[in-house]
Amino acid sequence: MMLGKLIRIRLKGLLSRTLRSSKYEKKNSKGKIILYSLLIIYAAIVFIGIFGMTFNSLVKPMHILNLDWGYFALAFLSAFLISLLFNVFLVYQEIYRAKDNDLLMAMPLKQSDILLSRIFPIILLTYIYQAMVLFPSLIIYLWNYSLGIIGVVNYLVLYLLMPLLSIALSALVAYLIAGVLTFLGKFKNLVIIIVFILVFGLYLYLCTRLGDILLALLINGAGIVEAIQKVVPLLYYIGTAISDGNVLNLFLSVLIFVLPFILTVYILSLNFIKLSTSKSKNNKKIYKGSKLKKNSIMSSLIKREIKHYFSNVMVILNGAVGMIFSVICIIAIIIYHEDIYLISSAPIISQGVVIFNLSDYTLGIALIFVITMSSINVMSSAMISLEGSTLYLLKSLPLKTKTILTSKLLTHLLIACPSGIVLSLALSVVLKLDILSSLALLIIPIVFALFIDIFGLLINLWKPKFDWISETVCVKQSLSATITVFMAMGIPVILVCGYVYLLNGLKINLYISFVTILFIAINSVLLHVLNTWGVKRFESIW
Amino acid sequence: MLKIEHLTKCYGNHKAVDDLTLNIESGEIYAFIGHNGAGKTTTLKAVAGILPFESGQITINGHDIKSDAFSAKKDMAYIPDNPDLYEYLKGIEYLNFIADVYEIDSETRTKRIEKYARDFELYDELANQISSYSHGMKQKLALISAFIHEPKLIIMDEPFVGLDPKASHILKGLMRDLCDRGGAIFFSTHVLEVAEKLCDRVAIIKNGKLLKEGVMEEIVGDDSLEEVFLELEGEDDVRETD
Repeated sequence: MMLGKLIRIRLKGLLSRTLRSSKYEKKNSKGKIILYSLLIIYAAIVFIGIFGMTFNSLVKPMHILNLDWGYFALAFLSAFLISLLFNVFLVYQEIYRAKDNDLLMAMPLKQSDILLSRIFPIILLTYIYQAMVLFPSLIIYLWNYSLGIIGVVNYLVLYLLMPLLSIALSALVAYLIAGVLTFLGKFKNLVIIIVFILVFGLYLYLCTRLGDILLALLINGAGIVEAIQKVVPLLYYIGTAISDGNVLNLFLSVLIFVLPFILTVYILSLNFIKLSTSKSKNNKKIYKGSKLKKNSIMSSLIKREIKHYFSNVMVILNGAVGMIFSVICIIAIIIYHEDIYLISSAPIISQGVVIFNLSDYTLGIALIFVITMSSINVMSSAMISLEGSTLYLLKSLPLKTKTILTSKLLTHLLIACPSGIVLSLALSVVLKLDILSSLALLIIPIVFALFIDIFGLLINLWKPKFDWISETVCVKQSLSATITVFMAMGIPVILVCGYVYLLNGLKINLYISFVTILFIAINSVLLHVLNTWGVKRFESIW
Repeated sequence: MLKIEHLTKCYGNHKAVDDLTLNIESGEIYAFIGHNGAGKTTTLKAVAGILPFESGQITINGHDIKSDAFSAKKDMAYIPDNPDLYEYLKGIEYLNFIADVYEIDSETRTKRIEKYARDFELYDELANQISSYSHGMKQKLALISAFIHEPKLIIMDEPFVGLDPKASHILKGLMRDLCDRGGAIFFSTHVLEVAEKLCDRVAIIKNGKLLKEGVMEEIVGDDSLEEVFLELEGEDDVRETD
């Protein structure tokens, strides 16, 4: 009864936090709801497309190898890993660090109810993550082969129950993280980012090694199947529950999904107060005093912005994802530099005829790559919202609005550009680009980073969100961040399609020059809008 | 020092402040009292340049808060009812940031921060993150940040909430010092005893409208400020019922 109410309040809060931008905005406009729906549809198409292509390349070889169960096991494993990746940090924030823990715990509520009300929205989100992987894999299988009604039903049952295991494991990992973090003190954010880079790097490595894994299966199929059955029996249970309609294995899978969840909720509810009220182990320091350094207003504002941004690891992992990916890519480029160079200089041959030399397009492809990395940093799209209840400070201090906005733009560039520049340099060296091309690879992505920077800030000024409980809302559930992310994802697509479908008559270098000049012009216009409308808008929001 | 002329601020159809006119002279500690939702915080935020307003004019030391906000804000400091500060900074980093904004030179800021932080017994804590501070400690930090650039006008919204008795005493002393040096203080409070003892003038507001304004002794007369306030509120309620 009470649990139902808590869940309703939580979902209402989640929905309201996602759609509403101001506490004084009582109703959501139809336009905003339509815009959100379109964005969700767009995201679904993109992700389903990516995973669809991956599973499309797997379905036939695995069927030929008589490893249909392995296909389904791989689909569920991918979905599980993705949900785990997102849930670990979400569970940490939502369960252990939610700001309303004190309020709820002071009320006559069962701790298990508080806990379950926090878990329920995460389950819903997990369904969405998993659907992006599992539905394309199922559709592709059904498109090529038949499965039978029991297989499909089992597939759906497993889809509905797997989030429970993901959350149980996430809670355990998050618990360990929370425990470790109390000892890490000020280094905790750095450690989390490094762990995230390592885990994601490993995930990407495994994805790139998919062909080798298939080859190994082909050579030593029986042995590997036996090994999987022994080491990760759950994968075998899942796979055969679907491919063979094995009800016993379905039952075993369901048990493995449900039992850890029940146990986790039980243990967490017993320790909830201790867990949610424990503070990071910040050893109290005594101020010794020293002569304080005077900084210029701009550098002081930028320092403050950077400290703010790097104070919350969830904000970094969502907003500065391009910076993190760039670091992973730089490492990968250093490791695989020879392969990369060989691929970039290879001719594309079809039926014995060279269609074109990839080397003619090296700069274009490298540019698209670096532009993608630098433009998926969307820090500025949350920088106004992140001010939250401290916005009054900036507005009551003797600061020109233009100075405040410029400091936000510069902060975005300072976070986004260094890793992008190193990535460009690494690519220039590995691809053996000439000086002019290297310069282009260094400078042009900055033009696009600036575009996303100004665009994000303008959108955030248009739709700021100040009534958040957790800062994560600003980067994960705000309209401004969502729109900016989609714009960032759209840029490479627009650039490639623009060349392939509209201006393919142009020489690639001419096209690059044209696009660069176009975006410099767009940036100038956006900067003008920021300095006119943006300034007025900042002064009117509160 | 501070002139509020015919200030009107609306939230949708609701008039939060209705044609308010006040004049705070140099050397005055001015209390602004009223029931919850009377329009005190709205007025203070408008004066601080945080809230845009529909009509009226606010000038601080001769600078219009709308057309010359930068100069107006240079001369004042604002302390809100809830000390929401930059939790990700250390106390000393926050104060240094404020000093940077007001362009205070290195030596002066070091001396002033030490003086005010020692006065409020927060000096030792300045090396710690603001997120680890209690409400009272944050309030003290907000007060130090208001005093370090020695403003001509300080706007405070419920400044005594969360302060321990010693800090309250120190604050009252600092308020008087600032006014004796030609500054002015405009603050809201529900602690009427403090307002009565500390303030030179008082304004009582209800539903956005000014009920009474003047020199404290003249307003209070032989009664207490609490009695006057309750009487005025009561009278106004009767008038509204009629």
